[in-house]
Amino acid sequence: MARITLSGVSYSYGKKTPYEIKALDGVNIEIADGKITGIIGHTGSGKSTLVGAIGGLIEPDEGQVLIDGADVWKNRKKIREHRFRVGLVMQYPEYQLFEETIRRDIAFGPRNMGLSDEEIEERVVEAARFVELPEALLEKSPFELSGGEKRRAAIAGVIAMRPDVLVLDEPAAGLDPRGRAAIFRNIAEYRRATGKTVIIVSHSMEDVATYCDELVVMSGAKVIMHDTPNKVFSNPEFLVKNGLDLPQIARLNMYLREKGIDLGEGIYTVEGAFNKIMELSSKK
Amino acid sequence: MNSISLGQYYPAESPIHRLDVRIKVVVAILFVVCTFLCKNVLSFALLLSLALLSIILSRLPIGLVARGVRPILIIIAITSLINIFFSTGAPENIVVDWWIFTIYREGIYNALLMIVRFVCLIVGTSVFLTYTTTPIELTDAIEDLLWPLKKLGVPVHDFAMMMTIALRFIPLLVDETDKIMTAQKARGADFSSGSLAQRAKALVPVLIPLFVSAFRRAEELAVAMECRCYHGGEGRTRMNVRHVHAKDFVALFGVILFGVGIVVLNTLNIGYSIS
Ligand SMILES: Nc1ncnc2c1ncn2[C@@H]1O[C@H](COP(=O)(O)OP(=O)(O)OP(=O)(O)O)[C@@H](O)[C@H]1O
Ligand SMILES: [Mg+2]
Repeated sequence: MARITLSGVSYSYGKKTPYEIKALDGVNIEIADGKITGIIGHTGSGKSTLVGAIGGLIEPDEGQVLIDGADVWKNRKKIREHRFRVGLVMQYPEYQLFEETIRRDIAFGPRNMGLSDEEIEERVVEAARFVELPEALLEKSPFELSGGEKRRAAIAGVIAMRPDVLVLDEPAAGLDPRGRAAIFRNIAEYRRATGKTVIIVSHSMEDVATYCDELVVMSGAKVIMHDTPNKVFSNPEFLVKNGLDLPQIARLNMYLREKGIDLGEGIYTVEGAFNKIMELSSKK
Repeated sequence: MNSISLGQYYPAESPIHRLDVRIKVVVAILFVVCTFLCKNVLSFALLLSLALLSIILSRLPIGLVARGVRPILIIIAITSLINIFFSTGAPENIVVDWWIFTIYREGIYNALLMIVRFVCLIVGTSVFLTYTTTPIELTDAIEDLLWPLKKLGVPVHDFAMMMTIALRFIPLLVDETDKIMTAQKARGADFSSGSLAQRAKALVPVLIPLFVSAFRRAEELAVAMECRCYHGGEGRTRMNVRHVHAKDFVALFGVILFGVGIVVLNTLNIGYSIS
């Protein structure tokens, strides 16, 4: 278990140059323990920077990142331990694969932790199972795999560190619908099996609506909303104003309501809408 | 980091930023010639005012331009010392005569004028080139200016294209290196401690993905260029055809006029003049 808190975190890129950009501006959040938190926001709103700060890869200019109440940058020598506790999978992680075989690449993190060979092997197999990578692929070179398989391998490389918090920056970007669904299913299953905290950055309202327990909405380097998907999607004007879409089902819901068919609040997944519509039609 | 922040380009709206880059290159060269033409106090004063004028016109922060001088401070200091201690002058102009050191007033003047010359040299090139012109514009301009070499069969266009692509790729690769390093750090890679051998070894997880991606990008670019029928410089036209406007001629004639002014002032026998 690990409680992540950000208090007054600010960060700028290109400090002291004409290109200085404030990517985080006084961010205060507390990530719910043992839940899946989604981070949404338009491009350039600072999502990747936020998860970089959470993962201990970006040192805030101001404010603190706390884990179980302890400032992670207090002892700079210990930052590596924080990075093992909070496993960050960056955007397009497949470009970081470098070992001769997938097995060795997944083992890179655990090996850096200084674990024994048996322990490493056990973790590699477990991580590969979570992302549904067949054993046979483990002996292949990363460059023989398809894009989706590489993505899974890279995610497994972080899961193998058994972090208390798993952070994924757009894990499904650039994958086909089936690949997307599989990745999200794997993550949900990982969370269910381990009970660990998961943070996902995503552009897809459908995906966050389906899988997340809580949502953080970012806009212009600030966190502008932090609530359950139910609450977040019940305020369409606010989302649209901040450059975000509604899940398609939420839009369908609005349309049906205009036509006099009310599915009720909190319907924004295909499954939810399907059940509700079946229920309504059987009443008639 | 983006393609523009390579080098020291400082974005601003100013008459100098808007000058035709080819003219800017010529003006910068003439300016450098002017700094070497200066001989006496008057012409140096004129040079200094031209330097100040160009800073003002370029709307660059004065601190930025001053920082450009910093890397050569050592050189300036050494040349000044050499000038002070080793110039000889008229016996009545001795300022200090102690032990083996004899300092003449001429030596001090020489040192001061040298400093002005160095500073103007840096200011001139940085105001006209480094700070107000992107490296890519510069390679384009140089390609144009080197047209006589084309007649001799030198593949100027191809060199310029290679240069442009290289310049375009540097920030991309820096960016990529940054990302890959961060990704490996997230998996516990440690680049900042351990012995030299350990640190070198820690770079393997960065270098391999970097090379792979550099080759991939190069190949993609080559294919993309071929798909658009790129075949070298022969008969190729520019998307942005540059036209030399009146303001460019004004700048050119302005700096030539300054050069003439400097030559004229040099002939006047007023004030101190470098031998
Ligand atoms: N390495 C960098 N150097 C300079 N500026 C950067 C860098 N990385 C991000 N930025 C800038 O910081 C701001 C926030 O970027 P960030 O990557 O956190 O956004 P994001 O919400 O993840 O966007 P996306 O959805 O496109 O991934 C953007 O304006 C971006 O241009
Ligand atoms: Mg991002």
